[in-house]
Amino acid sequence: MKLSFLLALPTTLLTLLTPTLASPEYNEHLHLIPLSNEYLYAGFNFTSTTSQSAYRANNYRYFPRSLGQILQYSRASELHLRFALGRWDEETWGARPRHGRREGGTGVELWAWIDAEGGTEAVEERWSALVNSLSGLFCASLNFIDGTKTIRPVLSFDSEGTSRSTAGSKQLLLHGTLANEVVCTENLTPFLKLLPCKGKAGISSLLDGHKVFDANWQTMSIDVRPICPASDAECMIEVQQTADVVLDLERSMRPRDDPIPRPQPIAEIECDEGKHYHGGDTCYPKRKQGAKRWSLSKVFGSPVIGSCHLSERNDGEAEEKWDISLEVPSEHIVEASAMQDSLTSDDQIRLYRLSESRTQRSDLSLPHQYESGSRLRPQPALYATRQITGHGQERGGMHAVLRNPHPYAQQIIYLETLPWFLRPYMHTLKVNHRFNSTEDKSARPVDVFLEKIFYTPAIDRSRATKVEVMFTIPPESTVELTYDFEKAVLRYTEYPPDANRGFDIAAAVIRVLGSIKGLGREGDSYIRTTSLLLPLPTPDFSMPYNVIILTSTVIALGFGSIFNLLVRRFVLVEEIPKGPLAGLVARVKVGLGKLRGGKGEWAEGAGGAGGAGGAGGAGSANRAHEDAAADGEARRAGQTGVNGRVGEGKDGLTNVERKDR
Amino acid sequence: MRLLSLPTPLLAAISLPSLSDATHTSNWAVLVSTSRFWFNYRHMANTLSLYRTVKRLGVPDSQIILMLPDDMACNPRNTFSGSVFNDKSRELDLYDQKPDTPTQESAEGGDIATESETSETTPQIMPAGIEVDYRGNEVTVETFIRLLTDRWPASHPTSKRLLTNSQSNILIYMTGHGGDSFLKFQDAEEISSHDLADAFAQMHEKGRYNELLFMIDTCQANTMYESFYSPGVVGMGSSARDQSSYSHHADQDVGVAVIDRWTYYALEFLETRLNSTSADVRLGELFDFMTFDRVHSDAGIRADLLEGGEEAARNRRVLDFFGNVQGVDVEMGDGGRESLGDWRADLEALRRIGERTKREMGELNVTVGAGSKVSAREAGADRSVLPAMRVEGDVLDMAASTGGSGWLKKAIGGTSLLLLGAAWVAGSKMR
Amino acid sequence: MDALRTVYNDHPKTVLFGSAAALRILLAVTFSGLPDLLTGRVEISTPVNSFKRLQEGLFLYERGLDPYDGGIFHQAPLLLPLFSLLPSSSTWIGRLASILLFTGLDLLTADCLYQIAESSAAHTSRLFSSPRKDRTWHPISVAAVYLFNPFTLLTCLGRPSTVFTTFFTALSVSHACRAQTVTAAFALAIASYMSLHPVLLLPPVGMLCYDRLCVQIARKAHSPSADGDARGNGFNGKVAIDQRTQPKALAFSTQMLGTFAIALAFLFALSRLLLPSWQFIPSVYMIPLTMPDLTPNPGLWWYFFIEMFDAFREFFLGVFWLHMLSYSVPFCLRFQKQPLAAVVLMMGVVAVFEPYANVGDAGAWLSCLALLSHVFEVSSAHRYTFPALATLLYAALLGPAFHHLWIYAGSGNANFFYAITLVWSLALLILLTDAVYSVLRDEWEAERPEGKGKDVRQI
Repeated sequence: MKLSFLLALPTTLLTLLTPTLASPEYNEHLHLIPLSNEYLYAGFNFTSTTSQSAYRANNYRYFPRSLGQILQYSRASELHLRFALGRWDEETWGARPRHGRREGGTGVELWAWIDAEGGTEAVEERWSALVNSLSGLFCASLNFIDGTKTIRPVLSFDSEGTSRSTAGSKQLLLHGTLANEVVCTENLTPFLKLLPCKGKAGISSLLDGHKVFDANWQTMSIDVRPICPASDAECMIEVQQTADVVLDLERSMRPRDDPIPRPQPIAEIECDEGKHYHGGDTCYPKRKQGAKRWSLSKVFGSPVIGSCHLSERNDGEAEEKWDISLEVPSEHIVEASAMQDSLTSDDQIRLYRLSESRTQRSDLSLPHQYESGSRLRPQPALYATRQITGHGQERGGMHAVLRNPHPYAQQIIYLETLPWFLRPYMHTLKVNHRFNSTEDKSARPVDVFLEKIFYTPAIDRSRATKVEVMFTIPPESTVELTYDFEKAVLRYTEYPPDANRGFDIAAAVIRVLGSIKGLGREGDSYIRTTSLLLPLPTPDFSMPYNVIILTSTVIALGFGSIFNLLVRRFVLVEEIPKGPLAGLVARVKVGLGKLRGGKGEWAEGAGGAGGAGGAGGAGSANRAHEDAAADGEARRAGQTGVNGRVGEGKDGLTNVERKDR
Repeated sequence: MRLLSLPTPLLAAISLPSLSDATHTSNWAVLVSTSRFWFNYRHMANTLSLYRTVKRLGVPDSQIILMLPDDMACNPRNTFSGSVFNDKSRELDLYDQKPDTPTQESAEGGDIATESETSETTPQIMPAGIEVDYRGNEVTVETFIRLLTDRWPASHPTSKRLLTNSQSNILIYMTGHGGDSFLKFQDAEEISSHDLADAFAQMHEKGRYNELLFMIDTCQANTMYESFYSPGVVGMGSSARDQSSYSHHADQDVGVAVIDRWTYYALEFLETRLNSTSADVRLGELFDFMTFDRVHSDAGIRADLLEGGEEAARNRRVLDFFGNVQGVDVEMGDGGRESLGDWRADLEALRRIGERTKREMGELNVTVGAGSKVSAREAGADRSVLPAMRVEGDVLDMAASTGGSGWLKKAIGGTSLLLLGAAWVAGSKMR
Repeated sequence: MDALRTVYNDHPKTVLFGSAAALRILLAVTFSGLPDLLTGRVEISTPVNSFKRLQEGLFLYERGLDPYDGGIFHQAPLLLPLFSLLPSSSTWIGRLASILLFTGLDLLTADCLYQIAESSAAHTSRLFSSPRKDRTWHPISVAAVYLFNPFTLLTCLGRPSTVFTTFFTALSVSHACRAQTVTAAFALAIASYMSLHPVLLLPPVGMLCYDRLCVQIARKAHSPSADGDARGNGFNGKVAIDQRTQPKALAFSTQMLGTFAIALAFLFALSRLLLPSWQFIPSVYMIPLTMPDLTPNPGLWWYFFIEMFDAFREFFLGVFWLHMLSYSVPFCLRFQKQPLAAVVLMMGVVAVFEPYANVGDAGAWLSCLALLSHVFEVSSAHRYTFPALATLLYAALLGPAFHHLWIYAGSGNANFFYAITLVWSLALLILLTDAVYSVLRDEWEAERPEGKGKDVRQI
């Protein structure tokens, strides 16, 4: 086909260019586990390696060029990118696939080891360059991972790669999360485009957005790491792309054009005669027994198209040779079409290899059959949940519950990234445990000794909080980790369009150290809690102008009145120079007075009042003046007396002395 | 690097004939839905329909800027997860059309075949998948204006930029909730017709377009292009001032209206009339297609900014804006079509790889060059790194608080306070 | 009963202070939840004085982390060693200890006010003696007003660190009244080290100190037997000023400023000793300037800067601060004759217009107004004191309710609380203006006795 030709073309060129290359590898693998009789776990894994020298020389064969160049100019030696959706149900599905090492918290998670040369500023530049170009590559808003979402974990992550320790080459680990990022088809498309067969052939042809994003739990991961064999053989760069999904069989096998479950016609329902009310008119549907029948083509919408066997086969390891492995009890019937199959030694896992043809459509189908006792999935290392406690939008509390079901103690590292507008109070951090067996909840829980705490407090608008706690969970006990926090009020421009939905808090990453179980670092497993939704107090977004106006008015009022008092001098009402208008008013008043035959000083007072010039205040001024003319002294004494009583108890005395002064 | 040299001459060779008769050398499309939330499903459907059409007519993903403020396909409310439909028949999934591989029997290829009656004879094969360039909270007025005027920080990825030149025709399609000369973005902010006009003026001054077709489907849409003043811009709107533009129909299973009238008929026109990238259809016919009894509002056009006025606009080929001048399947027999589609897909892939490579290289230089700028932008983040750098610095050991160091600290604190007291006494003695 | 009365008549101060302390401790003990509840109230605790944030800073400090390398703790470094000596306040004993500490502070502040009132600085100064000076309240009542002011009471239980600021401000003023330049400057330096804004009090306090100095010297010259306060001697308060014996203003101001600067430098050096870096200077003193933390408070700033457009934020920050600064000097010029009034009024300006306003400062200022008690009759006769006080009460009662409606009940939005803070500030402003008016009127009436009780205009 043209495709293969076109893809082969550059590789031939490259092989011409660099004849002496460690042979680049590509292999892909699909692992299927029927979790219970209604869920199917499907783990896709695509691994391609290239040699350091080819990588440095920009010679790409199976290694995705676009990714390679991004890594090269951002000088990231190791990269881990995660897209995740949904929740892994530990209670029913058991332990997580791949020890949770290939999954991320809801949304997007990215961490990378970046060359530390040139100090923090240079690292920050490289990091921002990395996230920006990745956002372009994967159609995700990764460019939102800025300083406020980036942290520097110390304990939680170890470099998976084995790089030759060259002196002076220090690597820095940066970690960023986008909890509110929606993962959807536009992220899957570039994911598939990184593959050599571009989802057109091989098991990647099963990856269809409609099914993948209809899953109960789904995570895509891209991991790039250097591998240096112990011998002096050349170092390799490995990119591993995995896509894990848990599909609801019943749901995903519905017809695509009509996924809405509708009642079956009564004829097709199998009735349960056991019921006493069973009759011609009543039918109690019989519960389905055993495992549902399913097939790849039904579950994934289409069968596997062809195969993608690019690298020359070396029959060394088993899982390189086999494309698909299925984990079902040995007695199950599995019909494989156009695949050669075999069993593993413990005949628990069946292995299938696709035929070399590119157009061959291969399929796996399991007919409806009765379970011979449900197989137990391995128990997870921990059960972890996390909630926000408290009510109201002012403050709250974080509350994480970690249950250790095993009879041995486990050492864990608990990592949290908190946005700056969630202000945790570390002095309220409490970690205590009680044994699962203890019935009475009244029993006072015991404090857990925290071996290490790495804490980086947030800085408003520029840095996220990082909490990294290391402690040991005693056997068969439940640990509760709690602390209080306060919610900040943001500027109104900092709220997203759907401000009242709340803000997503990234999942907590829990690393269970395997060393205690004697498994060493490889035994480490990761568990991520669900992400949280944090409601913040919101201002009224329609108010800016009103607020500016009102507040400014109040301030202006204070300023104006105070400075008005400060700069002007007091003058008695009488002494205010008469304006021409005032004179006129006075004359009119006098005239009126004559008409009425009123008293002289009344008019005189009116004149004074008119002199006040205060058009409004004339009346009052008039009266006041009159009083003053009449019995001002006594009146004032009384008045002061009144005030004096308000002030303190010696008014009588004051009055007296006032009077005779 | 050697790989890069491969696709360009190939494409050049293929696109030579079509270059000769077109005044422009590249086609770009900016498709924007500006409204969030599930009940605005139809706006996303509008945009995606346009996206599909321009892609079908040969505009590569790398030249389509798609802005989707909310996620409908993977929305929990969406029964048909991973799909977006623009018709209640639900024959055509706009979000991710699985391509028909040649070997597949044509029964499963129904979605392509039924996309329009006439197109069955000449099925168009388009690369699968969808590339959304701006999504979620990225879709803001600022982003949009920056995109048009191409003002970005150094590290902005090329795939999210509008890399047009004076020889490019641009199709800009916007839909959402609007009013008299404004269009709401995500219910949070508005873009006014003047902002748009100024942005276009800047684009013209910077020689970023040859001709620009502006389509908008919103209430009082025609008010949006009234204040344009830069030459070469043709405006199409769905409704006159004080008119609402209506949705066409709802899908009971999806539960909301799935498409707006104006876009619906625009699509009907494009799907029925432009069934091959060589179809010679004029814009005038599209204008005339939007009658009142179809759209239920006065669809308007504005072409006075184009030299030659409306007449010239009517004579423009629709493909000048919707198609791609590098369309490869000018005269081509029915025989090799599928294989040709395959070819196109692969060429597309190769071309994208090439562009990515260029981009990476370009960005490499840019980021190195503009390091200072980046660091300036990252000033906040820089501080953020410092404390974390020294691991010992931010490790808190709970035990330490009760340990000797704690008492030492207390002692130092106490002495400092005593010092303060002593200073006070000394001060009070002083006269 | 009679015994009580006799006791009160003999040692009123002891009784008053004892009862005040008893009341505070009783409240804290009987309602053990009350202190933490009050600590959580936005009206009392702001980002720059919250007791809970102080605990957080203390926690980080005791574990060797720089408490200022973060967005939570913005209080003066020297508080850290002080509180690290106290038992942790999560235990009841620790809570009691903190309550005792803050009660002690309150008593000391009250004592300072007592002394200020005693040294008749309010109504008698070098150039001026109020005609109403015999209307001043007894120092006991001034102290009582402070101690039993509900705002002060609640603040004391809420334990914000601004109580320290209030105390040191009062201390500085009282020392200024006793004409002790060095200590006055020192105390003011500590106050402004605790929280930025007392710097604005430097000019008026300096003026007051200078004034008292002159009075003292003059008195010494006039009657060697005369003690510091003017109540004793019968003449009308205005002492014969002998120009020759007066201290040089320039020398004095240099001494004042010098002491202030040295004290500040000393404090900063001391803080630096305790901390790993100079980070605390931006963290403590830039926060009130730039206001990054917009937690609601009863002031005018928070909602304004929530709603402000980004482009204008810096501009308006500058405007607001300039506006606050703009009062200091005019007050000094206009109230040359009665510097204490200038100080009190400036405190009022700060209490109303400070970025992280809180009830504590407002309450402290309202109590300090009692120092100007001799002019109350003017304001009550000619101004709107009663409506203002009524409004104050209204706001004080409705504020928490509206805050609850917004934050917890969700049945109201931010505008509710904003409106009430607006009313609160307005009421305080009216009181402030009244005080200014009556002080000026009093001063005017001193030279125009016949103008008493008459209507006046301002031209």
